[in-house]
Amino acid sequence: MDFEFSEEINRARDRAREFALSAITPEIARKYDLEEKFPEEVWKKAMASKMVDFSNPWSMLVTIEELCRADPGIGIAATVSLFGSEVLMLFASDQLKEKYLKPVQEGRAIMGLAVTEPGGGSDVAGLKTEAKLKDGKYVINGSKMFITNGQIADFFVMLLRTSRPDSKRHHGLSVLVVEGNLKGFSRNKLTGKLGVRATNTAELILNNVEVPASNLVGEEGKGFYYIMTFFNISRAYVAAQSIGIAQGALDHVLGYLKNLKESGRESEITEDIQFTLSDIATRIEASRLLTYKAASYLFNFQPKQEITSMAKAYASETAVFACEKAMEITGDTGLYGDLERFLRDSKIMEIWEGTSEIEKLVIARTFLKGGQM
Amino acid sequence: MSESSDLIRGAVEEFCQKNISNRALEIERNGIDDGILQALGTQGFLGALFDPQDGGSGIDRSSFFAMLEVFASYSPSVAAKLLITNSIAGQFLLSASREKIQDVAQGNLKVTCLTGSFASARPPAQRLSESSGRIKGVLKNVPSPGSDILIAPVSEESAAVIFSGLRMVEERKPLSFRGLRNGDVSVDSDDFHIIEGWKKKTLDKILSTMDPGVSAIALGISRGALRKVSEYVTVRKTFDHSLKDYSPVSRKISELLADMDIMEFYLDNMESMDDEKALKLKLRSTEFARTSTKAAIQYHGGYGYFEDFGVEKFYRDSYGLSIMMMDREYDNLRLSEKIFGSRSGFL
Ligand SMILES: Cc1cc2nc3c(=O)[nH]c(=O)nc-3n(C[C@H](O)[C@H](O)[C@H](O)COP(=O)(O)OP(=O)(O)OC[C@H]3O[C@@H](n4cnc5c(N)ncnc54)[C@H](O)[C@@H]3O)c2cc1C
Repeated sequence: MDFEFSEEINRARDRAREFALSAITPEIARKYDLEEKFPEEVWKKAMASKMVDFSNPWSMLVTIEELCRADPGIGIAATVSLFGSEVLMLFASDQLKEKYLKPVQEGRAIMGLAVTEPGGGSDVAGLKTEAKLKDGKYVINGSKMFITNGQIADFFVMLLRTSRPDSKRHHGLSVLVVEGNLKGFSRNKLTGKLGVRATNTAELILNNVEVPASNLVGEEGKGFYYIMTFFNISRAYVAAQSIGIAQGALDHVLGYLKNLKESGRESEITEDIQFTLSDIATRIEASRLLTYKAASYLFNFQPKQEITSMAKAYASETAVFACEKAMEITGDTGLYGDLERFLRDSKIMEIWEGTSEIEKLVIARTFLKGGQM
Repeated sequence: MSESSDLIRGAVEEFCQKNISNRALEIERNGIDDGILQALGTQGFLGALFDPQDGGSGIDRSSFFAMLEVFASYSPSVAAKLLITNSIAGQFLLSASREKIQDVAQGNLKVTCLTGSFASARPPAQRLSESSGRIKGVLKNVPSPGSDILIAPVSEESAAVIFSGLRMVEERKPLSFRGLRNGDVSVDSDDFHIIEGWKKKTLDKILSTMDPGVSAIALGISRGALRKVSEYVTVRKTFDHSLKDYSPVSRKISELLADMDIMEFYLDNMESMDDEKALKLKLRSTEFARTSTKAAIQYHGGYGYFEDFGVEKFYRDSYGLSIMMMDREYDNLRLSEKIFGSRSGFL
């Protein structure tokens, strides 16, 4: 067992760290957080630097970690223009890939993944938005909720109900590529988020929106399977976001303690603080090991859903834990400095792309079905 | 619970339903406006602990804590304003200017201070400088920075109550108590009153209100968050079942409510308890506020992450409460000393 990354992945990490230090300054992070605005310039720079390349997943994993370590909101915004692209990579026709995937990979377009609806996000099979095939077109009616890039995306990979479910609720769902400027398609920006305010979030309303049948991804009725496959991949990336956040919080703590030391207040670094520091560092290391293990299975095309869910649940809880403890240690400095933003940002990790509760159900069900580690 | 605190809970509930509930989001976004402040004054909440001859209501302390708890369950910022006014500000104004207390109690004059500096005996992190009859300097991160009166440390032992020459130089959006606003205040004044050796004179008095007051706000924050989440899990369905039907959800919320009730019992009987118990409750209830508000966001799913649903503010405020309104390290040392009888837990 080798715990060291290859030279290439280490280089990707270094490059991302360098980029983060120059392009994601605290001033920039504060500005977009306050204005609740997508940082288009930073995103363009990140795309131009070629470091956002999801066809190179290991490099992407460490890149996400480093960007979120500098600032979670901007770090996510810089890489999220390809959110959902794996669905196209894995299941779309060559024509769809050429038309939709290529521009987002080249930084010329932004995409989104639209699954959640106002009535529910955890219960994916319970979604209600319908797409009915009529005269060679799908006609879509319904709405999607909390969609990242919702207001700015050129198109969405959207999970829809194309036929009534049979005995299994998840049957009858399909994935379509839906462009954002179609007639009957409206989007409302959702504001007032607790954190990740540099990301754009919107509600999508679809009223008799017509989409060519050729925009169907893969086969009709297999949408649930495609999206679950996608989540299994994206959850590893959320774990990487979470590790970045936790590491960023630890950086703040270390900076604060260094200042105490340098200003002759070393005696204030009690054992209590040292133990908390150890707990944060240990949990970050454990999250890394779990995430890299999950990624290793995934990127070798042998995904282990339960390991990915463990990594996502554990790393996201670690992100929140690290920020909460860092706030306790740093007091006023954290409250009025940049750390408070990390605390606000971290909470989304336990909610999106499968809440912690849903991850725990996935893990338990694998074991109850006789799964082996 | 005493009859009077029962009565006050009812009155405050009614007031909050009418004046705060539908404006809680606006308070978070734009601050507590003059209208609300004056309504708080007219109803006697702003000067709740002040003597009636100083324009206050003179209610008993149990009723005051009950009142704070109810306010915090709707708007922690309003509760924080009431606590600052009745504890630190009240104590200092008593020595500095009795006439001004009346105006503060009515909501016609606004008073603020660096809460953290007056909730512990540690040297203040910020102070103004006083020389030749003038006080000058800039204080950072002052709550309610647009106030008319500012109380600030001028040395390790003395503080000033400053009546004019205050100017807000920068406003910020803080993590917590956004209804109070936050900013830097520049001071250049010859209109002030110095209180020498304030720690000896007033720290104990301040803490005797601040300790249970912070607990009351912590429990109010938790009550507000738990009320919202209990309602939500009853109406929200996932996988064709109410959220409340899932064992981890109902167990967690039930356990939190049980802990809540136990701590509330403590709070309601605060009058018969000593300082040590008040301190214990403060340390436990502030930690509890963080746990319960985090659970409330989580069970709201994506909706919990948006201000419109009114739960995320409780989570944010639970942090500010234990940083702005108290000094946790100092309080842990105080408790260790009370428990072991000598200075302990400092290594
Ligand atoms: C900022 C933001 C960005 C987002 N971006 C996207 C996006 O780009 N695309 C997209 O499709 N979605 C997106 N989402 C939606 C997100 O994935 C959902 O919010 C999440 O999946 C939870 O769904 P929900 O909000 O409907 O909560 P619900 O499913 O209603 O769940 C509410 C609570 O109940 C718990 N729960 C549910 N079922 C059970 C059970 N059986 N047992 C125990 N507990 C249970 C959940 O864990 C949660 O705590 C985003 C959300 C946010 C806030």
